[in-house]
Amino acid sequence: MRKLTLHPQIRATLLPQTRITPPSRRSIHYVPPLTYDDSFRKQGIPGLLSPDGFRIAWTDYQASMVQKLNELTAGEPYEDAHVKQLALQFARDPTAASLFNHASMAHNNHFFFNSLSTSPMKIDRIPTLQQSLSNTYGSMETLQGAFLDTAAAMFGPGFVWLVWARSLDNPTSGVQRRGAWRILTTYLAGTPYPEAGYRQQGLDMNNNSAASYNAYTNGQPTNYVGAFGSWSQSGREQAKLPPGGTNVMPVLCVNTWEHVWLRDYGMNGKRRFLKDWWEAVDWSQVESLAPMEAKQPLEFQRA
Amino acid sequence: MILRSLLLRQGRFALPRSTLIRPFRRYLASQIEETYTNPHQHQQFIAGADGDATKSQAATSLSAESEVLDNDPVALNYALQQHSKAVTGKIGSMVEPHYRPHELLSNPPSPKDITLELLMASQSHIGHSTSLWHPANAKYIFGVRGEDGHPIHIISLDVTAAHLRRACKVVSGVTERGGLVLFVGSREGQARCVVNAASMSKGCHLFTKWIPGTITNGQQILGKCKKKVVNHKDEEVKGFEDQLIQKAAVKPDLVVCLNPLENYVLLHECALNNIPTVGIVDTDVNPTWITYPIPANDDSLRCVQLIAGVLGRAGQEGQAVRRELALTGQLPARQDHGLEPPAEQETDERNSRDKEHGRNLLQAGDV
Repeated sequence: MRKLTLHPQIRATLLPQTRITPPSRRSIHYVPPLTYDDSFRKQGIPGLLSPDGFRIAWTDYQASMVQKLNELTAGEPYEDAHVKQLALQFARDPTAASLFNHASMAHNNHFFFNSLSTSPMKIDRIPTLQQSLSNTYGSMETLQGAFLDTAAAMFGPGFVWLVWARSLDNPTSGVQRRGAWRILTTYLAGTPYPEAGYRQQGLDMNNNSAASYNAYTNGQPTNYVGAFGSWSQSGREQAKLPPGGTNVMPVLCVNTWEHVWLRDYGMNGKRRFLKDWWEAVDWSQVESLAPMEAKQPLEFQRA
Repeated sequence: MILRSLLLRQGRFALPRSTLIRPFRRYLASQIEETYTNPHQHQQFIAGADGDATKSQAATSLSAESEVLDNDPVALNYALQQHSKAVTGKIGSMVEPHYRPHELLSNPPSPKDITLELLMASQSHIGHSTSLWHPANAKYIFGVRGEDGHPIHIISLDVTAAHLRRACKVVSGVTERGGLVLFVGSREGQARCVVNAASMSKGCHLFTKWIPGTITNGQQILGKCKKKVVNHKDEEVKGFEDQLIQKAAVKPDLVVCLNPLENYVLLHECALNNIPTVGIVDTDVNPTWITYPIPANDDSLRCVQLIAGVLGRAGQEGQAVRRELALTGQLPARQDHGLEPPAEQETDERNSRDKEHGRNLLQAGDV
């Protein structure tokens, strides 16, 4: 009998009709209900996952993440904290690696399933967002190609994010901070939020040599003299995050862990899964996550 | 239109799930009972409550508030941070509703959130030792509990809830009719909730020692305090400065006292001046000092912040009703302030013109 960490109030409607044992102790974290949970359970995600595939990728997997979270946070002062806060707080703590992994994975997985729905809205019905994305990538087809190629080229499990990245350059004479759309890869249970610090996993060691890794980590100049530039005193001060803020806002992600697509697409089906996923994205959800400044028409500026 | 076609095409499974988690404030509560609504609540008891000509002066607004620039980088950073927190902060798991102490101050409960479970969780049923009790509030006491050496009185929570709801009605009724509420709480840690409650009710606050004679000797103690005239939209109206010099400081129309034992002088002055009082009555407090007692624990900060927050919310609701009525032209506030319309403006212009030239000469032809 499967023991699932579901909230007592919603347990009766969601589980199949088998005898249910109540949880032996009070849980603080529960599997969050998706907007289209009922439909996904019965019919799967149309065009993407079968009901069995959905059960593995969401119901069982998220339940195991949440159960482990409850075990790791029980009795601690942070037991009431939300999952994202846990991921950011423990990203740089090597003794809490398990807690970070499970919290970040729970967050990323929920983020992925939030962008799927029973009747996804196409991007051409949201002209502001389409225009904004085309400003950065030229066209939606180019964005699709870049995004899916990046995801297919990643070896091993991880997530690929579409993020709005704000420029950290000092804004000149009142002009607002500019930004652009970027594609961000995170491996295993990495988190895209820059507040997590050193846990940003932007380099895939399978595609890099020791020399390039050293260059990446030791890309510091020998001295910091100079009045301008990113390595000058003023440049390094400007490159800090805004107080309490963030310079990266994720709006869309794809989960490339094998357990998501293995059952429905087979061992060699990653490319087909990514293509089907792109067709299944609900762009209205992406639009609701995108910040206001990303949806405004960009003014053309000479390079 | 989009939603309708969605339902027709996809059927009921496509309907988004409704929120199944009850709000935290009613998470453990029993069924909501019907509260009493007074059929006479809209009756006007105060003479002169109809709109009076002296009050409907044209409003001169204060200096314009500094407007937030659209491209201010700090404002944009803040907007992005708030947006990010709102849409991604809770993704990952559903956290069971739980108590967070700061919410009593940042988002106090409203009168409709009063439940016996909330009162018990806030330790408002815990009274003092039985040997220290005041027998006059025996009717508020549920019973005696504790070790056989140190029994304490337990306050009845249904009595507490009823009295607290009545006090909320009093506070909202006073603010609905333009009254001034003074919130007083001089114990350590009560300052923030007192200030919050006063700002929600647009009243006054006091979290330090009450100076004896502030009401009875107000002419002396508050003689130099600043006074202002506001119109029905709460905007300051200039032109009354001469008349305000002679006017006495406004006395509060209701006083809410969170620790009556230490503020007995304040309560006595209110009684001498016919000012009704609301107060937290513990088992050792004399209940006859207070017009509308709330039997509760005045030693627990959580209980005091809860009661102050709820009363502040009640005042806020009354202010909202008053503002709605004022915007439609009904002015339930008292109009017996005794002020005359401001003087003509010609003498002012002449004085300012003289000062511009740097001299105060009487020109030929001036009267």
